[in-house]
Amino acid sequence: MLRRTRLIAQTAVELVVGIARGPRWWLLPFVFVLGVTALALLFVTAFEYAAPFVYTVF
Amino acid sequence: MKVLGISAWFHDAAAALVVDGKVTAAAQEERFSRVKHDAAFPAQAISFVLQHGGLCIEDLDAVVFYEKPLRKFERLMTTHLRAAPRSWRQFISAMSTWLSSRLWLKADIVERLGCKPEQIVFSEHHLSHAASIFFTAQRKEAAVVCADGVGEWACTTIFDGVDDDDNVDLVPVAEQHFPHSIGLVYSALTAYLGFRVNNGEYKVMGLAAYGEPRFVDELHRIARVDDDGVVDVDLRFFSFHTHDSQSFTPALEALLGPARAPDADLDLSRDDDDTRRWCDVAASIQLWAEEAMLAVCREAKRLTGRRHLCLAGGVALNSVANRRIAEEAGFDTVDVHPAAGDAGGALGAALYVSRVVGGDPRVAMSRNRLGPSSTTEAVAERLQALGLTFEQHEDEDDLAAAIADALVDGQVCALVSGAAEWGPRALGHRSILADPRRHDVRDHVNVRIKRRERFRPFAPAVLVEDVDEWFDTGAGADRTLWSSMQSVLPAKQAAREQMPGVVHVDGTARVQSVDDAEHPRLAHALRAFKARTGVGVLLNTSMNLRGDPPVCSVLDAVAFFAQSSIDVLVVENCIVRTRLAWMTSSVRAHLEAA
Repeated sequence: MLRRTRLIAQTAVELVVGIARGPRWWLLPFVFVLGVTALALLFVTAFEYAAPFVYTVF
Repeated sequence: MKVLGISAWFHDAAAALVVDGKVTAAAQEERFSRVKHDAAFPAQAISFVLQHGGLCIEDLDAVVFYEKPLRKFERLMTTHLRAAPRSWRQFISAMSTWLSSRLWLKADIVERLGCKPEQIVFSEHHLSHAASIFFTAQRKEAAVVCADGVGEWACTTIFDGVDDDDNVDLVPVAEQHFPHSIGLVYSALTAYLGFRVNNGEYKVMGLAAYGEPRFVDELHRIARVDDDGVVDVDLRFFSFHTHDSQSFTPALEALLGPARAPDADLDLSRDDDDTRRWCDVAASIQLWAEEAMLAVCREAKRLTGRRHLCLAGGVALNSVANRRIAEEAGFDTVDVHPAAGDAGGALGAALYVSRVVGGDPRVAMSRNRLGPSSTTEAVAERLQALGLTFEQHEDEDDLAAAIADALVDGQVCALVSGAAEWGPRALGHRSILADPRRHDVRDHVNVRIKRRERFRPFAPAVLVEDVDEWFDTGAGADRTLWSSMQSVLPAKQAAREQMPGVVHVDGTARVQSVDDAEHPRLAHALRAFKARTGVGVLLNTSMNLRGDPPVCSVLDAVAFFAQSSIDVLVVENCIVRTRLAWMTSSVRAHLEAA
């Protein structure tokens, strides 16, 4: 699990660095929003009792 | 170097193993999972190629994925943002798929294979395609044209390939980016004609022969093709960039008339206005694609100055376009990879790493016979376990005689011989064979055996020495294209009269020239058939029912025999002619229990 999390984090960093260095750096804010959404979804699936709070946020 | 190549998660997942510059095994996941165009992680294909090579994951120097998912993700985001707000539905659907799995491919591969993260590398989509043909064509230099729907960003790429003592490389010299794609326009028209995208394109090619290309000017207006091969797609007519299930807009229907309902019955004998129009649209998009590919290949010749051309990518499976390219693009030879679609990307990615990164030498190898095989002993044991009655012919001439006798008698044979083919074409290793002289053979095999549309043409397998007797090969023709059914040829009058089963309505046929080295058992059967009839030609089509992938194992072959109306099943040296009672129901369950 730890290894997978580390690899996912590595990939996320590669994605951000790749976009930042390329001609489409303006995509970064969208990547950030998506990342936060993904984390929220991950959080909801991991902890069921958090779901109602996340629901009100969205 | 020992390199495992993988393609997955879009369509046609596959695995290929390259050892010291030679492809030792390659297979598509669909052959094992029995799901046509299976896109799932190719666990069974990987298991097969590693077992075949006697290797385990730890022995591999590299595991290479055929494309770069992060660049693809970047393209998806850019495209959706440009099309916002129209694309919001597809955006949400795409992002949920990517954020939940596809983006974290490296972690997934490590988890599934148990390999080290350092072993994993990513190739580029079109580079993988290009390598699949350039490094198997054994040319010292060639222009390589890769055309498909879309890779990361590129839809069409021209490479300059060099493979000599001093230098081995594939250098991109021109690239056309998404959404201006020959493959996507062809796929959108495939959907318009009611066929499934990434599955029905070859049906459009077959249907085209029944129509007149009266809409080609309209198609050139909405997808302009310049002399240098640059395509400019008018996105008012297409929606493949904003929708995942609808690839054309109402504007296309306003231009060409109402689209055909998906998978609706298509009876060409009806000859009504709609049916004629659909045939004409098919003929028009086919002509448009031929002209577009021809322009790209001429540009490749101009940019690289090479004598040889290699073609890859899904569009390279268009055998009618390939004939025009071979005749009109100005190259001495044209090579097309047998698995030109995404499956071939697995093989190409592995070969690129082995040859260019690892410096492995150029090695002669088969491009076709790379899949699983069984020995006669194993087959006999399996057939006995199933309680089937069979004849075993140890002598190849006896076996060929038995096959030829059955065919002359009007029977249809299924032949399983040696390693399964790599790519979608059946080349005599997992094939249905029939007498091409029979007038009713096309309807019989299409409707009664394969249960598919009547208009679908069949290919002739021809002894290599007899190709010129039956087909118009042209002066100084390059014969490499015909060895794996990658180009059509015009049939001579004698062929049209004597073998109606394998000549399409436009007078052409997708010829497979058969030699003893690559396809020994099929060559034997052809000689035996020729000795009896004077015709060294057989109808050859893939061994599968509609919607199924081609058979792979002995069990698949027995299941096919049970479920179809095939008369004779030949598996290696064994011949099965009699069905048993259990074959009429729950065949799979019985076979798996056995």
